[in-house]
Amino acid sequence: MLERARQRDALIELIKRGVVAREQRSTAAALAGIEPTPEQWRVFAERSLLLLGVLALATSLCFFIAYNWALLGRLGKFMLVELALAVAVLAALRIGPAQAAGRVSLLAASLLVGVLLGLVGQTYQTGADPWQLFFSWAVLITPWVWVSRSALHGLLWLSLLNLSLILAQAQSAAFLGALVHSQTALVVLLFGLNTAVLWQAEVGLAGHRHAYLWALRLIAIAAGVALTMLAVFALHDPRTAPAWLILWLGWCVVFGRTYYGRDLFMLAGLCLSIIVVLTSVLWRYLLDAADAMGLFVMAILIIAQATAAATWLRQRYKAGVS
Amino acid sequence: MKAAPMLWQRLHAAGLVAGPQPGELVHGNANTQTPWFINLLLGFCGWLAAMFLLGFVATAFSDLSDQPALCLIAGTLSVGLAFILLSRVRQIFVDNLALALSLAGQCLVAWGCVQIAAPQALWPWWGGALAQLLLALLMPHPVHRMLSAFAAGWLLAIWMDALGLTLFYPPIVLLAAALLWLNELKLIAHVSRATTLAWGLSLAMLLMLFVRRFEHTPYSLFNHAGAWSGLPAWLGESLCAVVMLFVLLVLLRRSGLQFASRSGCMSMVAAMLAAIVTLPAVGLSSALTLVALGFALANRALFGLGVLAGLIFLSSYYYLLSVSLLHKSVTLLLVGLVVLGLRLALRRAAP
Repeated sequence: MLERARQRDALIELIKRGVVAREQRSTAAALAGIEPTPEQWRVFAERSLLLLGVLALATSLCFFIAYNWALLGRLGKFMLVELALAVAVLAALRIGPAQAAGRVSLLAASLLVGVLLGLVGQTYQTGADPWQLFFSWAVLITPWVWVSRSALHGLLWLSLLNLSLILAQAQSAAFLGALVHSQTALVVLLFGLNTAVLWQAEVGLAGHRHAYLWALRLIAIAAGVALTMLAVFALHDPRTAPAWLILWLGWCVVFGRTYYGRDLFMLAGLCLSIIVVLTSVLWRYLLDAADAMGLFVMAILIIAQATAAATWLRQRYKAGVS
Repeated sequence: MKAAPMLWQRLHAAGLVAGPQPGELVHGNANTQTPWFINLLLGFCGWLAAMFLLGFVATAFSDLSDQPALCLIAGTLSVGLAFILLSRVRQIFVDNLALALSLAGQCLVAWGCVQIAAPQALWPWWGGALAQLLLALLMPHPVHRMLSAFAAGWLLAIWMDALGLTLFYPPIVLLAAALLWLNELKLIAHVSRATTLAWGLSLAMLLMLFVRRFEHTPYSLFNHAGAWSGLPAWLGESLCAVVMLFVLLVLLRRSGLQFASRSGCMSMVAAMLAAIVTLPAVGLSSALTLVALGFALANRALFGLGVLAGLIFLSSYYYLLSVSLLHKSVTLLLVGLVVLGLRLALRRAAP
């Protein structure tokens, strides 16, 4: 779709410049190859149906276990889940991770591991906290995530780790003990985890990152939101050390240098983070008295920041960064 | 951007464009478009600045909030000034200032209308939707047009809710957005006008479908009893599925598929079954329509939005209280088997 998307942008560019007459646009679109061929449609339909079908079957089993049907005994439930898990793993082994069907089978197997862990918790009332379930789930599926090299699979794994951190903080007031304030600790850990995964993914995917672009951008959003929150906490919450503001500054420099000539979306995210933090600084120093002039100046300064960001980003876009 | 000059050369060879290649294309400085995420950034900042401007007006002119006539006049003047600035001055700072001015002005007008209107009056909703639609068509600023189209979509939803026509909102807006997407290249002189309108309506529809998941009844904001309010809830989703089927058939036809052929018949049956299996989860057919449009039109942002919305609607199916988990489990099992059966049939039919 990437090449077709490029052709679409190019055609819109030519139409905007008045180069292509209105009555010629359909022919021009066909010539540019924007719309998919029947073969591309077939491949798209096959992959979508495979993913949808396997996800529907896996969630069907998950709902069935959640219903906790009394007529089906403990043994029956375990056999059902384990049988489904075995089928998914065997299918993945037979087809192999090089094919889409193999990767989807591994994804289904990973989801079924979660169902199995949930069933263990439901049956034996182990007393484990929910965060332990999600953490164990993530750890157990790690080898399959590594083998499948699928962006969707990787994001499931990362979401489980993020979720287990959030639940751990929610359930334990002494999260990370006296090291840092628990809310700050959570945000620091979320930032650290997502940044480490982003860095590892960028290094590992060098050369073909365009195929994983959407996943890389989602991970960068998670890391960026966490660190921006940390910087805003440092400005407004006396329990949060101002040192985190320095970390944010350093991250801005490194992130900006890394993506300067590579990824405009990342640079736009960086601009948004800077605007949010600078607006928080202005809020602190301009709005203490909550007077009319302070509000007016805030509005103008936000517009000025947006202008500077948009001008810079458009310059980068014209220079070929996308 | 190298694709534009290369495409120009191809179109030139086919006789679709005439004359010399525009200088900007030759020199590689070809891109006048703005990526969607920069527009999103500008829209966010515009709203934030508008809120501070409103705060400034409320603090500096505190008597204004009690005088609806003054609110209406000041708001209209503000929107008018924004229109003049956007039409005459081409500068990013002025553009952003005008956007914030217009949004703050619209809030003032809305506040004036709320004070004037009787508690159950409907005119603010349909009047607001019409005014926003007008702004979406007239304002010479893409971010403004998209925000106005989005607001028009929401106000239309509230008006239809109040009339008891809630069920018909998603299929109507989905059809309008789909027609705009399908014709974005040829519909009107300015392509971005169709695109921004389509974006605004698509986002409004998806967000409205999502918000309704948190209400007591799946399809009501106000719970007004209108003449049509007794209609069954599945009717709205069925109409969305019909729109999805229509869109799929148009797209397949465009790709050169002959419906009289064997593969054409297979594709039609597959499209029909795909539309049917979306029925249990509210909003899923709308999301999948956007996925199909995004794929066909090579619009990656639309494709991503559709996928995200589809995942959200599927997961919210879990929380549908009117159906038991056992019922949902059996439904999903059947859906899974039908979908995988379809895939098998497609593979067998492939040349």
